[in-house]
Amino acid sequence: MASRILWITPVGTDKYDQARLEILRGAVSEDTRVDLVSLKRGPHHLEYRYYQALVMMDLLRLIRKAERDGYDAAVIGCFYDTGLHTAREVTQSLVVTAPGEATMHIASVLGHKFSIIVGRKKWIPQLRDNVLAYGFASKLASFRSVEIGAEALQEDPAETMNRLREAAKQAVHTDGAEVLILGCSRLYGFGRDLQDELAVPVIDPVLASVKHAEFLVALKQRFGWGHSKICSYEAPPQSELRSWGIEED
Amino acid sequence: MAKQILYVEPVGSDRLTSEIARYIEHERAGSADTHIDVVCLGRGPRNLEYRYYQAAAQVDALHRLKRAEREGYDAAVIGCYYDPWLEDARELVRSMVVVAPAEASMHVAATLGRSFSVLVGREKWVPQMYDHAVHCGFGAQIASFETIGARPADLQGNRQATEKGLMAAAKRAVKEKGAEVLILGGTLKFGFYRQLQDALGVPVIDSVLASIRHAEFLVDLQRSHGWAVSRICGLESPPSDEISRWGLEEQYAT
Repeated sequence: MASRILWITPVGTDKYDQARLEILRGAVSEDTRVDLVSLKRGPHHLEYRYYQALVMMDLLRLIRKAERDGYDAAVIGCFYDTGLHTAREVTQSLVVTAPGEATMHIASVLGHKFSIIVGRKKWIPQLRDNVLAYGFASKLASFRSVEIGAEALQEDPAETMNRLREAAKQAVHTDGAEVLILGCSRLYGFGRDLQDELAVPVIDPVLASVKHAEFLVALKQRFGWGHSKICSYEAPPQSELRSWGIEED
Repeated sequence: MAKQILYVEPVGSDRLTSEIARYIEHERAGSADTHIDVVCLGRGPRNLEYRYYQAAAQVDALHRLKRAEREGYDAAVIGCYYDPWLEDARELVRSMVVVAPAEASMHVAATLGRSFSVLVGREKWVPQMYDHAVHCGFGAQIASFETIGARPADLQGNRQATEKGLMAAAKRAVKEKGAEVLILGGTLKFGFYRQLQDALGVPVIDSVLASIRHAEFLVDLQRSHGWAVSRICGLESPPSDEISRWGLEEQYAT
């Protein structure tokens, strides 16, 4: 069945959009259309909680607009899964997914333990909290950091690759990882080579999240299995949003 | 791309295999270019409620899956909500995708809400299913297990009672236990999810359908991106030469 997916890069730069759009379009089925949008203002990466706070409302506006525009799914393109639960709460029936959740769900069925390779140590505590919240604490072999900030991961791909290779080897040989996850939406384009070298699955967050979105859209279209709208993802009343004037863009 | 999936009902009787096949067809569980066969084991227990029955069916089931791989299937489903021998099967086969209903259903449920309840036949099933849920990582997401007091043969044998029992259990789960998503915890509860879902307004996951879609998803990931089961450590396959040198398949043949 035909479907439309919107990938949202929740930062104020479109520097990586074209590269990612090509990857996304190459990954989906023929009858899936993927579009990509980034923010018109704001920080260029989300390493800090402060930056995440800044982009949140713009991100949620795009999420709500995606639903109004008739998209079947939106992907929040940051490995922190920034705003994932809020986005599911504030929409009526849009499928929402994000790279952290998507990669972990895949990794956890491909082996007993996975490691997540991140850009900087700074990211680990917040990502570890996500691992715990999603239920995969017992599947986590380790985090490994390449100590390159999000801004620089695609600047010198050869250097990034060298460090990823070292981190991946340590994860597999020292930490007991059977599956690896690349823990940043800017770590695209490295997975296949690492996978071939190390002979373990290396889950690319851009590919995984868009495939997971397609999977969830199909479940919704065929069986009516969308996000549950009782309890946790109950949407705030429209009337309240309107009367408080927080509806406007 | 075309896919071939084998749904193995790991019991001795084929009484329900054609009904399951019809159900999968009717619900259009697979994509248009996916071919799905449904088989049973041809001998052994008629249900797997007891660990002893699971032990009795295990070797035949593993060999059936191995055979499915030789026959060229891209994926196989172990059609029992205990997900028996899931890791044994993943260890044994070389590249065929193996999935099972509980794992598939829980992965789906966990992305659709923050908590889910599992509707099962009897209390007897709960501890083993609970252990498996924890093992898969979803212990904290379980709102409850709800039982309807039915053995496997009753579930399709007396559909009226099953429907009534499931409706009452579903209401308990949603209204009293805080479940945001429901899973039909059993592969013989097919044919009920849609009316429950419509009545309660929450997603109700049919584990047969979820397992077929999960199988397709994983086949797709394996083909497109090479994301197959990791063969180091836990799921390293036993050496083929050892298996043949010891004559294991012949000694334990059906």
